Parts: sequence; structure tokens; C-alpha cells
Amino acid sequence: MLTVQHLTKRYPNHTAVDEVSFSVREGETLVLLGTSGCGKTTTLKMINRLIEPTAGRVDLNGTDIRRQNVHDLRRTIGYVIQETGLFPHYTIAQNIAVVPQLLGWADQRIRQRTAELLAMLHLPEASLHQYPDQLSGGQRQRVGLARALAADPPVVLMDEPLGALDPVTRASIRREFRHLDALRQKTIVMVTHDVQEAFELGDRVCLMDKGRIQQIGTPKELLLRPANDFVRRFFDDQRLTLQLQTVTLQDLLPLLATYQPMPSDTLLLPPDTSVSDALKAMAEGQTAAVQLADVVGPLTSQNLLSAFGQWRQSPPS
Amino acid sequence: MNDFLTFISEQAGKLAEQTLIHLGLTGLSLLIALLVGLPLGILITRYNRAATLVLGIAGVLQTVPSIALLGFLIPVLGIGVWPAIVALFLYALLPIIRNTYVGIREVSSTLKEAALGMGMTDWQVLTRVELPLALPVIFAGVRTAAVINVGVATLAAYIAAGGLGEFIFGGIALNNVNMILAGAIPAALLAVLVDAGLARLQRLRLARFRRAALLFGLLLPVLSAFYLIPKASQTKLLAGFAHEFIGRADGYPGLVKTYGLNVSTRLLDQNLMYEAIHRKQVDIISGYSTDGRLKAYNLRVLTDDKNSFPPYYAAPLVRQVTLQNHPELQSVLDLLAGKLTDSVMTGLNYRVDYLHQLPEQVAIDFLKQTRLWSEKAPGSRTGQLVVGSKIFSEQYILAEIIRHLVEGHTRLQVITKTGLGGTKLCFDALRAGAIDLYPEYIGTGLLVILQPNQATLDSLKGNPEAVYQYVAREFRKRYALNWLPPLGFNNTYALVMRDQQAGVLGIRTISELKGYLKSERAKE
Repeated sequence: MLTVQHLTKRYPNHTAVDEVSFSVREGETLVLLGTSGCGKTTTLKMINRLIEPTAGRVDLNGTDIRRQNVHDLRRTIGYVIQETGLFPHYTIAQNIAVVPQLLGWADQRIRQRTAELLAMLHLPEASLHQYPDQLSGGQRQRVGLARALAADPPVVLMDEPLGALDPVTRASIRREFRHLDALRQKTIVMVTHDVQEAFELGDRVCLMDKGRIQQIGTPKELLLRPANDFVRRFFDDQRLTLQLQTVTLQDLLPLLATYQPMPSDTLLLPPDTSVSDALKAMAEGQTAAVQLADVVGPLTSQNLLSAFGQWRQSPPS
Repeated sequence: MNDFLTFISEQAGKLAEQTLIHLGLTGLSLLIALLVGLPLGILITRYNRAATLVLGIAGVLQTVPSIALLGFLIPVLGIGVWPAIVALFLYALLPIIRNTYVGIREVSSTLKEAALGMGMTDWQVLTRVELPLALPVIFAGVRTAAVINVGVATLAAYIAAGGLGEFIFGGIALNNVNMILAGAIPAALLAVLVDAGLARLQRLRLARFRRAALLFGLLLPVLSAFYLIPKASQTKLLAGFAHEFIGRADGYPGLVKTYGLNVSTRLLDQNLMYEAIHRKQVDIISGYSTDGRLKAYNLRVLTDDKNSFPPYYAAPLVRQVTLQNHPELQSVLDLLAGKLTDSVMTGLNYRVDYLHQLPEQVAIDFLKQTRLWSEKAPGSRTGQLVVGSKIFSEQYILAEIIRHLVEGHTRLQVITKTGLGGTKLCFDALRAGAIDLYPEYIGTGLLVILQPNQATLDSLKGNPEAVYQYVAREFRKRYALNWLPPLGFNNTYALVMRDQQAGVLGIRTISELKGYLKSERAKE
């Protein structure tokens, strides 16, 4: 459990972070979202004390982080940064081993853990003795993640972790990250300016502007119940895409006709499937169904899209 | 070419020793510069405000001319190894500090933040991330420093620290090309080899390079140890002689022949010599009998009781063509004949060297005192006379005296070209017509330029009048150059001691010095 209370950072000429408070549950991913200069990165760096706050406090599992030795603190918090921050003069194995070594692990244990991480992140074994510049961008990003996870820290901070990748690699690594068990159990605070990324990876999203929190909540809450004009305008450009991603079959169930009989080999989709994922799952012309308790909704691309269209006309408030 | 090879093979032992000393000087100073510069460079990356100051100071030190730096260091550190090492150390400092600073500053801030964020301490960030990544840049600085030091180390010979400079400056002083090359070629080779060797190190792959750099660091003290080669045992009194004095037949070798003198000697630059004896770094120097500093530092000239030093009476040396073109010139210059005695000249030199008066002012005062002064006549000038001089105070004063005398008494425009490097330079300029006249010494004319055979020398020995007649005749015949009547003083070599010490030891003549040294050796 990570709690941030009234966190404030003032510089001589401006206030970078102004009275920011939030808490992140164990195993939850909170995304700090906003344009550059909104204070999201400063907030993140105050959590591992790379930046010391002017006022406010950060508690980790009920203890003020300032009461702990700063180096010990940082060794228990995984840190993934933009451009990966891999050390060019270290091999991949040495890069991954940085924190375990700082913690004084035995060589044997470090080797074992490195092998584990390599397998988990689908990195070739040969890469162990290579240098970062010999790897592709996507591979480097995975090594950056492996390095952050090496000592199995309960909390991981990520600062624009995918910022340096091209859109295609970015989407595939994002999907990979989302399905990584090792990450699911972690308490994660991630900074990004990419709305798609925030919605896809965040359990909750904290939208910031000018150092202040504009709204904090689940992606759906931000989309459907914006707290103010800033929040509403922020998503305007990508509203349709975001809705396709956030609206689930369960939301549409009342709008789907329920009279048609279902063939026995019907593809059954879980109720929390997003509209876009459901559309992707159904091949051209195929039918599927969604079932919640005893209500069954038959699906075709056509009726799904028409239900989604109706939903958009009068979204629940 | 053959001469050169013969010289090398004859001097092989000394050459090897000087090369090792050269390497030792370079290595030791580089080591100290590393020990100081590296931490300093690191420190100023932490305290940015100090960076400008430290780099500024190191930069200023770098621009101080090497000979001036050595001059500053003598009062503090004396002569010999230490001032040389300190000077070299100061020159090596800037490239090392600057490259350490820049190298560390240029390590990407993302990487430093990543290292900190993972929980490295400042020291760990420095040793595991910053230094390894800055190493190529730092090493480039070391390489620059090493090459600078190999070059500057030649100047160590000015202050009796040895090295290849002994050949170079000895050769320049004696106008011996083979000797110059015997120092210059190894020095240049050394610089190229050191640079190439370090460059090779730098091209190694990072991991191996780090090991090699470490090895180089460990090797430096070994290299430095060359300096500890045992020195020959010393006599009670220590002499500091100029390169020229040691090498010339009429200098130290003449003393050995005439008096059987045997004294431990250090090679010193002739301008630093006086400072060195004044600071009691040496006890005997090879001075000049009219040097103003004799008076300033209260030094005693030992009487040359066996006439070992040849006469060095000064006289204007003029092109015959010039005298023909300007017939009025000779009678004007003759006005100076005999007017400048030893004590007058020493006094004039003293005013320039020690009281720091301008040569021109001293010259005008002299002319007024001797009633030779005449105001420069107004109106246009009918011709031009170019007066040269060598590069020491006495010659500057003489050039100014001649200029004002000639401009006062004729309608000639006089231009001075002062500070010509040495005898050879002045003489060549005169023959080529680049200058019309310059003050020269008859001993120099005899031994440096005419170089007669031993029989002729023996017949002239010790007789100023005979030497003057011979030199004047030969110059007219061979070079169409005229020696005018001598000015009066005899600026010859002189063995010089501190008056106080010489008084205590009861030494007035070179024979007495020889006797003292002999009795001391007997005691040991």
C-alpha cells in the first residue's frame, strides 16, 4: 500500500507539483497521465526520493519513506525509465544483476534469478553476454523491465517505459506487459503521456495538469463521468477508440437482442471483454455470445456495433 | 649523416641515461598529476561553482611560458629534479582535470538517474557508472598530458634536471647540429611512441581497456623510478655551468687543462644561473665578467691567474660596404673607443638587469655623462643603418648607445634589430646584409667564427692585442667585415662565487679554488 499525501514541490519560479494525494493498493497499477510539464514525473521521482518534496509525505506500507535509508529504500523499489537507462558498459547479465548485487546476493542466486527473468521476458539466452547496443529496442525494453524486477521488489515505478519504441513494437510490448504475471502482483506507479497506454495498463488513471490532480479513477470513470472540462477535452480526440476499449459486453447486454437460439459451438466471450477485443475475437461473419448469469446475448459484428451505437447515443451517466 | 651516427655511437651510454631520465621525469610528473588531477576533476563535477575557478587556474598555469615557470620555481624549490617535476606536473594538470570533468559531465544524466534510482550510493555511481563511461575521455587527457610532458621535459635541462634537453640546448649553445639532433630525434621519437602506445591502449575493447589502463597506472611508478638512478659522488662545492661553457674549448675544458680543476657540475640555463647561486643552490657558476647581477647579488669574480679564459673585448663589427657608403660613420663610432671599462659596463648592466631601467634610458644617461650626447638633428634623414644585437642586456644597451650616438652625430636613420639568438645568427645576418653592424667580442670572433688551428691559437694565447690584430685582419680578408677599435671592457667567462662564501673559504683566484677542492678531497 502506497500513500501519497499533500505532496508538493515548489521551485523558485513555479510549482511543479501542488498538493497531490492518492493511494495505490497492493497489486494495483496507477497511471499518472498528463502532458509534459504537468508534474507527473516529478511526482514519481518523489516516491523514490530522487526529488525531495517541499511539503507532504509518502508512506510505504504505513511508514514514512523518509525514515528509511534512501539507498535501502530505492533497492526495494523497482525503477524502469525511458530509453531504458541500461548501462552501455555492462553486459545484459550485469545490467540485470545491478540491484541484487547491491543487495549482496550470492552469485549462484543472481545467476538463477537472471535465467528466470530471461525466460519470463522471452529474451534469448545468448543475449546475456551481449551489450545493450547489440539488442533491438524492444529487447532493451524487456531487459529494462527485467532489471527493475530482478530483486522482486513489491513496488515498481515506471517513467514512460515504452516512450522510445515505435508504435508497433510499443503495442506488442504493452500487450506482453499486461499479461505478465510478475507484473500483476506488483504495486505499480507508471508515468505516461499516452492515453491508450494509460487505459490499457492502468487499473486506475490519475490525470494531472499544472501540478494538480484533475481526476483520479478507473478509465471508465474518467471517460464517462469527467470531473471537469479539462478531463472531458483531454479525451475528445480519441473518444471513440477509448470507448471501444472500455465499454464491455456486460455494459451492452441490455441492448443486445436475446431471442435468437444459439448453436452449441458458439464462441462464449467473458462479460468484461471490451467491444474492440470482442470485434477482434470474432472472425468475419462468425457469431459468438456473452453470458452473464442466466442472460445470454448472441453476438455478431453487426448487432454488436449497432448496440454500441445505441449505447453511445445515450450513455449511462 | 656519418658524423651524426658517430656522435650517437660515441654518446650511446649518455644518450640511454638521458632517455631514461627523460622518461622518468615524464612518468613521475604524470603520476603526480594523475593523483591530483583525477580527484580534483571528480570533485569539481560535484561542486559546479568551483569548476570555473579550478579550470581557470589550471588554464592560466598552462599558458605560463615554461622557462618563466621554471624561473618562478627556483626561489621556492631550488634547481634540479623537483622544480622540473613540479613544472611538468603543472602542465599535465589541465588536460587531466579538464578531461575528467568533461568526461564525467558528459555521462548521460538518464544513466546517472537510473543508477541512483536503483539504489546506488554516490560512490557507487561514481565508480561503477561515471568513471568507467568517462574513462576514454579521461584517458585522452592523460595522452595529451603525456605528449606535452615529453616535449616540455626537454626544458628540464635548463635547471640541471637532465633529460634529452641536455643534448638539445648544449647543441644549440655550441652550434653543434649533431648534438642537437641526438637530443631532438629521441625526444620526438619518444613523444610519438608514447602517443601511439597510449592510442593503442585506447582502442582496446572497453573491458580490456580498463585492465590496460590500470596496468598503465601501475607502470607509471616503475617508469618514475628511472629517475632514482644513482648519481655520481659529489665534491664539497657544487658548480652550475651553462651548456655552452661546458662544451667550449675555452670554457670548462680549458680550466681543466690549465688548472686541473675538477668539480661536480650541474647544467644550468645561463639566465637561471645567477638566481641559482644567489639562492645557494650552487656555489660556483660560469658568469660573465661584466654582468650586472654580479653587483646585484654581491658575487665575486675569481681571478683567472693563469689566463685560461681568452680575451673577449667588445668592438663594433661593421660591414665594409656600410663604411664605404657612409664615410662619416667610422669617426662617430670611434668616439666610443675605450670609453666603456669593465666597471662602467657592469654598472650599466646592473641598472638594466637589477634596477629594471630601460636600456634606452641607460644608454642616453651614459652618453650624457661621457659628453658624447648630441640632440638628434631635426629634418629628414639621408640613409639607413641597421644595428643588431644578441639576446642579453649588455647587447641591448650597446645597440641603444650606438643608435643614439649615430643619430645625434649624423643624418642617418638607425633601426635596431635586437634579440638575435646567438653568434651564428648575428654573424649570418651581418654577412647577408640584414644588419649593418653589431657589437661582437674578439674571443668569439676568434673561436666561434674563425676557428683557427691549435698552432695559431697557441701563438695568440692570452694576448688581447695579438688576438685583435689577427681577428681584424682575417675578417677583412675573408668576409669583408671590419672590427672597429674595442669599446674598452673585456666580457670574458668568469668563475663566480658568492662573495661571502668565497671570503670565508679564502678563495680569490681559480688556483685557490683548485687548492681548496683538492684539500677537501684529501679529507674524505
